[in-house]
Formats: sequence, C-alpha cells, structure tokens
Amino acid sequence: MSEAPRLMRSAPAAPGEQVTLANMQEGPYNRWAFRNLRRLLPTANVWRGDGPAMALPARPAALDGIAFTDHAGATATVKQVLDRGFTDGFVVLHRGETVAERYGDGVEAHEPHLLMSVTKSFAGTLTGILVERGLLSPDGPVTEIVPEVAGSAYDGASLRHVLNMTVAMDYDEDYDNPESDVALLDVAAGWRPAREGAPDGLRAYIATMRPARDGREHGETFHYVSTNTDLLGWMLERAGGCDFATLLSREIWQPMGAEFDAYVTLDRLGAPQTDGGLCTATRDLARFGQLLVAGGVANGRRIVPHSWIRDLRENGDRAAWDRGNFAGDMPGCHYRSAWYTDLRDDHRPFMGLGIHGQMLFVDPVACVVCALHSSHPKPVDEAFFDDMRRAFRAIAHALHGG
Amino acid sequence: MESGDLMRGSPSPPDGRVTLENWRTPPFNRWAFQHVSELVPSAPIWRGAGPVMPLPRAGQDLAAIPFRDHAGTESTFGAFFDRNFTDGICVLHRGHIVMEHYRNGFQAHRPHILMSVSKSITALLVGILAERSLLAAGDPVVRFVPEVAASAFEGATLQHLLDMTADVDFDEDYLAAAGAIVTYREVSGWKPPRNASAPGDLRSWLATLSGQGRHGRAFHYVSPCTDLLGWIVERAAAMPYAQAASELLWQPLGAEFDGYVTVDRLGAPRAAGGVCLALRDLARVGQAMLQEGQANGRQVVPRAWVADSRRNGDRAAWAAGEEAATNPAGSYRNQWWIMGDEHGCYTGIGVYGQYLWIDPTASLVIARFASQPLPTDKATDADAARCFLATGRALAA
Repeated sequence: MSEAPRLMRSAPAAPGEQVTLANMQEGPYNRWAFRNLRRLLPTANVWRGDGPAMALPARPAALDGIAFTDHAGATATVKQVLDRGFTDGFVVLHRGETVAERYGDGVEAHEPHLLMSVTKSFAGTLTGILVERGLLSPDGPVTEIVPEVAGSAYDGASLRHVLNMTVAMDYDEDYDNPESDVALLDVAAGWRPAREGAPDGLRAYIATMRPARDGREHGETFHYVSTNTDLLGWMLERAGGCDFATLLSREIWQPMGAEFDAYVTLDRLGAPQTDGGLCTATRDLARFGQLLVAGGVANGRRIVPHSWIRDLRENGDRAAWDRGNFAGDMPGCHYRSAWYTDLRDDHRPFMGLGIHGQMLFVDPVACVVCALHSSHPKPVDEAFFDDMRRAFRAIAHALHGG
Repeated sequence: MESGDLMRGSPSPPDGRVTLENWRTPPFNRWAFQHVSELVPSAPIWRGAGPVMPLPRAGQDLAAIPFRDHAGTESTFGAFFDRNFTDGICVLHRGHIVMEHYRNGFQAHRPHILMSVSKSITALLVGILAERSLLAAGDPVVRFVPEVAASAFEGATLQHLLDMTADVDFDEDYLAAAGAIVTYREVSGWKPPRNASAPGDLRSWLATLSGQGRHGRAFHYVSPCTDLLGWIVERAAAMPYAQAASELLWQPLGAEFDGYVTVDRLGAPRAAGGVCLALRDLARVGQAMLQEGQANGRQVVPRAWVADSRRNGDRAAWAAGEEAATNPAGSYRNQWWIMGDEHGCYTGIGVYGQYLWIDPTASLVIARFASQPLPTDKATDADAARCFLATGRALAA
C-alpha cells in the first residue's frame, strides 16, 4: 500500500505539511485528514454504549490471490487492487467471521475514518427504523416535517424521493470545481473555510436548492445530490426527537455492539453532515454490514426491520437509474433508500459508496461483507471503484463457493 | 437554566443556541461544558484496549457532613453540591466510590471540560517524561522550544512554568472584553477570530508574549505557560499531546472512556484548559495520586514526582504572589494548588467550578464538574475549599 507523505508530524508542522480545512480533501493531505477529521472540525460523538462488542472471530482466508477480470478486461487479483489503492482499512467478514483485516500506512484499528457518502446508507437505514415505528412516512411530503425548505426544489417532494435521489432539481455535484454547488455545500457544512455570500450553515443551504429547469418531475430520474441526505438527516432529527449522533448511537451503534465510538461532523450551528460526515472504525463499518447480512438482527435483537432491507434491495427503480447521471459509470444498478444494488450479480449485493474510496459491500446470499476505507487522491476514479466492486464480488463468490 | 433547555430542536431557537461565540458564558456553558467537541476541533485521548482500573463501590453517606461557609453559616456537603451548578461529583474514599451523582443532563460516559484542572494533567505528562529522562524540570524552555527565545520565556525553566513563577506580562482577567486574554481564546480556536483572514494560532502567539525576565520570584498565574508545557511535551515525547496523554497516562491508568483535548487550527492543544474527561476517569487520576502514582497495578506517575508536587511548593514565591491573601498557608507546585492544611490537601482547580481535590490523610478524592455562571467567584470558591476540607476531617475522624 502506498506510503503516506510526511504530514502534521512536528509541532507545528512545516507549512507544506500542514493539513487544514483548505486542503483536507485533496491528496496527499486527505491521507491524514480522513482519519483525523475531528482535529479539524467540530464533531458529535456517537457513543458505543457500555455493552459487549459484536464478536467477529478471526478465521483468516487467503483472499489476496482471488482473480477477476478488471475494468480494462485484464486479469487482476484482490491483492493488486488493494495495493494500487490508497487503502487505510479493509475488513472482510464471511458468515460473521473476520476472514481478512488489514490497515495501511500506520492506521490503527480503533481510529474512526471518514466514510464520505457511505454516511448516506446509515441515514437511510435509520430512516427505516423510524418508518417502522410510524415516526416517518415514506410517502409524506418533506415540507410537512421541514417546512423551512418550502419554496425550494423540495416543494412536492416526498421522503421517498429524497431517499432514492429522485428529487427533480438543478444541481452541480462536481467535486473538482471549487465553485460548484457541492463545493458551496462544503462551505455551509464547515468543511471549507468560510466564504463571503455562502449560506450560514447546512440547514440554510438546503433551503436554497433550485427546482429542475428541464421539466423533470420528482421520482422520474436518479439524480445524485448530496443535499438530499442532509435534508434526510434533518428529518431524522425532527422525527427522532434528538440529534443525529444520539439517534445513531441509540438505534444502531449501541444495540448492534459497535466496538468503538464513531463521530459525525457538525456545522457551526450544530447541524450534522449526514451526507458524508460520519467517521467509524473499519471493523465497526463491517459490523454494520453484518447487521444487514443478518437481516437486521444483532445480539439476538431486532434493530433494522427486515422488510426495509429486502425493500431496498428488491424494489429499486431500474428505469430511474438508467435515466440518471450514474448509469454510464455503473450500469445495471438501482439506488433505493440510500443504497446501491448491483442487479447484474445474481447475489444482488448492495453497497454504500463514498468518494475517495469508501465502500461497504454487503452480499446477503454469500453472507459476505467488505468494508473499505481509503484516501484516494481523486474523489471519483471510476476505474478504481469499478475494480474494487469487481474484487468484492469475486471475493463473495469465492467464499460462497468455497 | 439546564442543559436540556439549550440546543433543543433542529435547529435550536436562537435564545437556546450554543455557539463558539457564547459557549463559555451563562447559561450556554451549562450545555457546552459537556459538548465541547461539538464546538471546537479536538484530538482524542484513546483509552487503549486494556482493562479498566476498577473502582469498587462502598456505601457511605456524605451528604450530611457539615461545614461552615464563607459567610459563617452552617451548611452541608450535600447542600454545597445541590447548589452551585454542579454537573457531576464522584467521591472516592479509600479507593471506593462512596458518592457519584450526575446533574444537568450530564452522563457518566461524556467527557466534560476540565478547564484548568487540565494543567494538573499536563504536568503529570511532564513528570512521566522526566522519569524517562526525555526532559528535566530544570531544563531551559528554549531547549525544547527555541521559537520562544525572544519572548517572555527566555531564561525560564520548565520548573518555572510548572510552578507559575515565569515572569510573563499577562493578565488572567477572565471577564475582560479586550486584550491579550481575548486574543488567547481566538488563537486557541475557542472564539471566532475578529479578523477571519488572519486567524493566528496558539504556538505563534505564545512566542509574542513579553516579560521582565525575573523568573522564579513570585507566583503569577498565567495559563499560556501550561500551553507552552504542552508544546514541550510534544517535542520531548516526539508525538502529539493527545497521543502522549494516551500512551503515557490514559492507557496505563486504565481509563474507562476516551478523553480529548481541544486543538487550534494547526493542531496545537489547549493544554492549559482544553482537556475533557469523563468524571470517573478524573477520579481515577486522583486515586493514582493518592497511591503515590500507582494505579491499575503499575507505577503510572513517578513516585518522586508525586512527592515533589505535594511537598515542594515555594512558600516565598507564594507569599510574593497574587493569591497569598486568599490562602496565606498555600503554595503552588507542578500545577497543583497546595492548601497548606494539616491533611496536606492539594487540588487542581478549573474556572466555573472544576476540581480534582486530593486529601492524602483522609484517603479522599473529590472529582467535581460544574458549569457555574462565573469563571471565578470568591464566595463559591472559598466554600468549595471549606466543604472539601471539612469532608476530609470528618472522614479521618
């Protein structure tokens, strides 16, 4: 695995080695930042509780040599893609046992690492828990719970549209353009230095979303807009009656038996960055996957409704996906309740994906979970993501068959 | 107002909104002191993966222990804690928890800010590094931090910093609306900078402090001295403060929960006031001090350092200093306040009501967190000392 450059080693770090809000998302600075985010931003702790951690007995399996056909049609091995990547943490579970666990570059198992948009899959799963309790309704209009966004793109949108990224809006999610809508989202969330004219906080920002100009209706087309999941986090806080970190601790982190505390970044007014600001240890990310493999049950306790997990995997809108902005890079998928499902694989694995190489791959047929934390210099290196997905599928099928 | 009345709803109504601008002031500090990481960036102090230092429980009712307050009125231990904006108290007697209470929404697993009790923690790290010969109390400050050579700290030793006898022009007026103490908060990341385009940083600012060079003469309480000690800890241990705190103290002690320390925008720790710990873990530090540095089956803090901290306060420097009138019998050593009473009590003290009180004669530790409305308050501060002294005397009787 590639070595980290010398960053933030001395006190103070030399100017060229300083990681700050201004550079933390760029390579190589993200190598330090993604596992030290709380040193740069306000964060709310997600307490693990005082119960025992979900046991993940070690049963090492030789995965390195598993071969698959990569994006370019060449034969590659699992080891090759992991070595090529900027892997910070990698855990594979099979039937609840740890078959592989490795860390890159001085990362320690207890260190929470940024999940980027895999955070969305946590928010989506929490939604399922609150829906089951009747605290949220998928078909309810979002403005009923968050009237503050009336008059924006969210007029007429339902919680379901938000969960599935089918809200019709005009939005530029270009991670490489510092002037894009998503860059402004970073400013509002406190992820970039304050800027003149930027909305004061995430919640103010959400209300500025513009309706689509091309006549699209809500529900028709998959359109990936991170702001949707920040609105989802806002709805979760309103419906759950507490802040996001407390809700996640109470509903998932404690009952599932997380081993370490997690945390989520906050803007200056305390709004959680629920589209990408959650940081967890890699093992705990894998435990979350295991919870879903087990149908939503952990430690003998029902945590996530089984129907919600089946629904996200089975009831996605393939046509909306094909019309959407990711179909070119990821053909044959659908996106539902903040999870991607790969329909081309007969196991129908589902995934949470985050920029710079964060992945949670869940194959409930093979009972395999792959959890990956990285600090890839590029937000979206499609060949990297494609090869990782191929590697994970190959791992799942090899473990299932073997 | 209680913490539960603040930061309610998403977002909280403006009058209940705790921000970086208002978090230290009442009533906002009631919520903020148990939620510091939600306002200021922080570095985790990992507890490690080892066993927790056990703290068995014993039944003992302290609430009725009487003391005479500053106004001469009879009061009780229980009454003191029921008033005075207490967030949590944990009392150990002979190594057993005899009292543990949480108020104001505070919970056992939550780190609470120590304010200047942080200084006592930082000094323990210095003592541990001294034992390993990575520094010596008599070393000049500039040996580790040449960056401050042209500042007040030229000619000062680590011991001067530890005893608050470095000669620094700095007025620790917590309620001042302008001046160096406000800049200090800004560069620490504890307050939004007035000039957002030139936010500054803690370490650069330390090098700008001036003085007259008369070190060692008089006790003069200057918090930035302890931030400088934090910097020295980082240089001597060759790792960030939070990591040193974890590896040298938190893991061997057998802390139950992770702690953290606030950091500025370049990662400098506020070693003088930004440490946040769970209540029982603060009590564990006190118990380790009672046990001459031993805890969890090992010598966590050097025995000689504990003895030096308890016994070698400079009475002459104290008499020449700014707190002599408050407690003529007192002194200050290695970031602990020495009471000068017959029990040999000593304590860490933080603004707004934070205490780690140790009574070696009564085998008593009192860890107390609060969110009092005022940073210092002569009457309440005096009552705390009177209450704790009386408690120790009652238990030793």
